[in-house]
Amino acid sequence: MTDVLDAQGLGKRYRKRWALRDCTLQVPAGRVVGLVGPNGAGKTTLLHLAVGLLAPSAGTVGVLGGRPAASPTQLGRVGFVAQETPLYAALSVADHLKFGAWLNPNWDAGIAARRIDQLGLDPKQRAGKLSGGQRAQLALTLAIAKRPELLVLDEPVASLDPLARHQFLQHLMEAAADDGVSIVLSSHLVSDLERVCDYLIVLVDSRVQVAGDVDDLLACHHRLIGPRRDADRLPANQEVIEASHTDRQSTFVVRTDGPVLDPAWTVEQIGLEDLVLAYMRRASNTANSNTANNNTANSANLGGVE
Amino acid sequence: MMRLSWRQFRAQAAVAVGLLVAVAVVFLTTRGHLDHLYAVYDKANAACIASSNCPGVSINLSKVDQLLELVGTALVVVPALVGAFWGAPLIAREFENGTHRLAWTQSVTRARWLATKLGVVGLASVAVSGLLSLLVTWWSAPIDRSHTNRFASGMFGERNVTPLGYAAFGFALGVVTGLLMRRTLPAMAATIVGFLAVRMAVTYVVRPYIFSPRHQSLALDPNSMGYGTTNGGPSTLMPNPPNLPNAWVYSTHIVDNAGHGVTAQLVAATCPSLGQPGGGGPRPGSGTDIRTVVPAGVQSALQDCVTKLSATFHEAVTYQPANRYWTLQWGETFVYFAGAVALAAFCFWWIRGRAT
Repeated sequence: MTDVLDAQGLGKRYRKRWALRDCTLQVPAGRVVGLVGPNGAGKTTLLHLAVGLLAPSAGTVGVLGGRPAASPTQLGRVGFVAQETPLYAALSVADHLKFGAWLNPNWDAGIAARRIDQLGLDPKQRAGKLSGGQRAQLALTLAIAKRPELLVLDEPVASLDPLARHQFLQHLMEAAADDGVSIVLSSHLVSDLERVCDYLIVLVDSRVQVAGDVDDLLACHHRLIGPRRDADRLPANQEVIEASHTDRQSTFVVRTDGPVLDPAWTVEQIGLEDLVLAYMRRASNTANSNTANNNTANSANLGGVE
Repeated sequence: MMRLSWRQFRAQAAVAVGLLVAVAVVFLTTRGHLDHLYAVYDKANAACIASSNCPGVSINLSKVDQLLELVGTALVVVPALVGAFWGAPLIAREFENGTHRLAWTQSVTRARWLATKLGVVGLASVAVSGLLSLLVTWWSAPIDRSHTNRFASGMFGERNVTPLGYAAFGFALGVVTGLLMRRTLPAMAATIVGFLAVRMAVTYVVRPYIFSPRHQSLALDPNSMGYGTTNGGPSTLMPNPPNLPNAWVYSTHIVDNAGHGVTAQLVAATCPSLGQPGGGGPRPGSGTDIRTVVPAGVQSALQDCVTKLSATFHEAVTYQPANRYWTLQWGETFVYFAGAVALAAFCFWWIRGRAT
């Protein structure tokens, strides 16, 4: 089966600054992919590269086996909800549905009408007068009704209140379940993604820190607590993601494919949020020490752990 | 895509149609009156010329008529407004609201999106300008008939086909400005300034050279030669405009066979009596008008002088003949259309994978 997203050494540079670099990823089809990272990490850049709004400065990106936005067919296979869910303020809800029907040959007017009805939106209402939650729902309707194979959403719930956020994600999941459509959505909050994603990409400081199936990630990451010791004394197959020490005790977050056998350790399960935070802290430490002395033991290439 | 472009444009189109209809109604209702005024004038003028003493005939234009004449002149700014209100927001507004991310991720390629938008709104720009030009050209025909130079800068660009080229260029300039500045309001202002700058540059610097002018040399005519000064310089001979009806005369110089111009010193040396108190010629600084009645003595002194000079000097005229009017109209229109096409091509190049 073709990968939904296949990036090889993908990078995007704005003048001198790299917004995304060395991104190598293969995301299988049929997943709900969460792209998480702090603001300014490069999430939007990656998504824009995937939907063809941007062209890469380095490397290649393939989406559903094709080049993004290369043809009307390719465009039709990917639905996109941009950040802040832009809509034409002067056009009505009904106008937006017409707009979708005109521009998309696979448009499903039935789905669109049903969703608008379910949401209780007034078709004559101007998009500019809609609430944030309604705007997001209308934007999602436009993206779903074009019957894409992949749905890409950039921070779709960032500006929504908790209730609208919950409702939006629920609708998104229903759509995914109905169609078997693959989904990639970004957020700077793990808690948004935790409930809905089964695949996770952590992007910090314009680099992919870790990517993989959520269950696999949880299974191979552990928190080790035990008597104080240095990180380099851990077995070679245990990659230290994060280390913290008190006078007598050390706590490590490690990634390992094998079991942790050392009886000195108390091994704890790690939650998705803590896992992501560990990677984010490591990335920011790396970035800081890189600026400090331009060389650290941690600066190995961490991109694309697959 | 066509339907979307039209849906997004129809409110603006309605405003334009409304304004066009208003102008048409005003022009249709006032044209008869204008025709009548000029018919009366033509008749009086013909009678005046036929008589032995003709002091000149004036036209009874009312304030309203003069105001309406301004409408024709206002055609100058229409392409700038088209560029500012239709061209500049076309892409800038999408950028400003982020809606290009919505538009460019539908099942329509960006190139087709741009082509359709440029096509629909660009054609509308040209059509509106064309219709307005048609109205103005038709309405001001009686006024224009009484002018001798259809090439005049206030008329050439406000009649016939040139406004079509201006509209296409103004629109494309607006689109490119919006594309590069990404903000609607600054782009609108920049479009107006930019368009008027280009329009002035073309009118005064490019237009005279699109087609090379013709040259004509005439013998000095002692009866029509003037004498005086411009801008307070020394008094010299002033050539009379050549008899080239409706032509666009660039310049008229008195030169010798080698092309050297006549100098004030030479005139003074050849004709020492000219310009002296009581010796002849109008007083320095007063300018010359051959129609003013000058004393016979002065007149004959000047004639003698011109006759002497005509042995070595002649009048060199550089001009565009009247029958080149349409060549120049189409030539300039083509230049502007070519500019519009180049700007549109730039849009396509820029928009490919660059903007987000």
